[in-house]
Amino acid sequence: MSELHESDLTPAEREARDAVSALSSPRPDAAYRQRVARAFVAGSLESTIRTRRVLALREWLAVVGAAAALALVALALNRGPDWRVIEAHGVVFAEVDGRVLALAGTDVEYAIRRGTRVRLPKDGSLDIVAPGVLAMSLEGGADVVLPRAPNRWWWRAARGRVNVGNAFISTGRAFHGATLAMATPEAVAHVTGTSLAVLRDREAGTCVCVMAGHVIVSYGQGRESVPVPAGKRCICPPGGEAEIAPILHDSEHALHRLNEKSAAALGR
Amino acid sequence: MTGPPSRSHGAVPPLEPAVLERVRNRDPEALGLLFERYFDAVYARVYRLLGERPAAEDAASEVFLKVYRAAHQLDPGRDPAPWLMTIATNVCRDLWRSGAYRMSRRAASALDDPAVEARLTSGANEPERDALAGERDRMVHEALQQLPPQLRAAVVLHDWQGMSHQEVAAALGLEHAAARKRYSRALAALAKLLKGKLK
Repeated sequence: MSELHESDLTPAEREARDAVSALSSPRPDAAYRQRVARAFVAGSLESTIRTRRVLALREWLAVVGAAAALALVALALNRGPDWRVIEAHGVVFAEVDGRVLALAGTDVEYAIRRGTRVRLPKDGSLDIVAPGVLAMSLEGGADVVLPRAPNRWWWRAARGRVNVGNAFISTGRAFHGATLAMATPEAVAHVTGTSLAVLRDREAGTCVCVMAGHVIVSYGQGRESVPVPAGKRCICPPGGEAEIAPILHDSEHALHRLNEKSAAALGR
Repeated sequence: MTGPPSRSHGAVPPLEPAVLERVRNRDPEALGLLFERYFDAVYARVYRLLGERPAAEDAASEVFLKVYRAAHQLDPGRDPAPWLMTIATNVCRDLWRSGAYRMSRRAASALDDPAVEARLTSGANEPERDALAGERDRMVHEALQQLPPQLRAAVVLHDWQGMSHQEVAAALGLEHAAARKRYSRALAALAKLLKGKLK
């Protein structure tokens, strides 16, 4: 059997076959046809094709280049603001590229631009702000990995860490829609817009004080997260159960001070 | 046989042997005659096999470049159409294997719609009939585009170009039985894609 028989086909297949058979004959564009004819007769078709390919490649490269440039511009514009120092007392030890630098004054701002590990002496303090987005106040003795300020439009999750000491955080208007996770060895405070303090003591564990807004604290493995409303604190002792209690007055005062200092920079 | 109301697209009368002899010597006038006689048929085939205008234009140019380079191998005593069409099919097969073709298929634009082209080139002043025919053309073209290139080739060469399975097998470098099997699969897939759309 060399060909299929009419009876081998279903009605739908016959219909499809007839439809293909009845397709029109596509005609080339007249200008293109003329161009190819001229080049073929003149024996210059190869260079015409090469020129066309080079032009297509250039066009493609231009499109790719423009897209890459656009992506770079978008990435640059998306970047959240750098930290700025509002007030610094004492020497700040900042870890930059694996080296610990003892800094003061404007050098601090330069070192902490995109987030870094910062350690303060007992008598030191550091108040910083990422304009419009976040403000942080670190008390003496704090050892903190600063979060970078969340980006403007996408990849808006930021993460920081309080190894030990007291960190007070306040979010600004531009924080809306972003998330911040502040971790300690015992817990992680998930922030979506609020004023809170993350206090960490080596023996007592972690205490998350929430003055405004709402924070979710996750701690330990396999345990349920704890929502902490405004005016409360969540105490997470090492290896123990989390406990909710009224907010510490000291934290409240420190957060009020931070909010006052950073109000203009946060756009409140 | 699965002979539809047979329409062999692209069938053209051969050039005289004397002209073909001059083509062998790359005589510009004879090359012009060869081009005028066969270009549209080659273009139509590569368009139907590739399904897009830019790819078809590239392929048709490539075919005629190969023809120019191999002109001295032309047998003036034989119809050059099968030779040209074999080159055309091979160029398309090379393209299917290239990543550039796969990428360009994703970016095929509405400007490549053969229905639009059919409406523009039919020449008859019967807008309603043209529109219906164009719409049908578009649906069948789109369904063909959804088939893998090798299946599309089997059905286009057999049903649109009017080639026998033996000829399709030779054109696609297959055994006769494999070409028939591929055609059956292609037609079944196409029927499924067009089900209820052609009424």
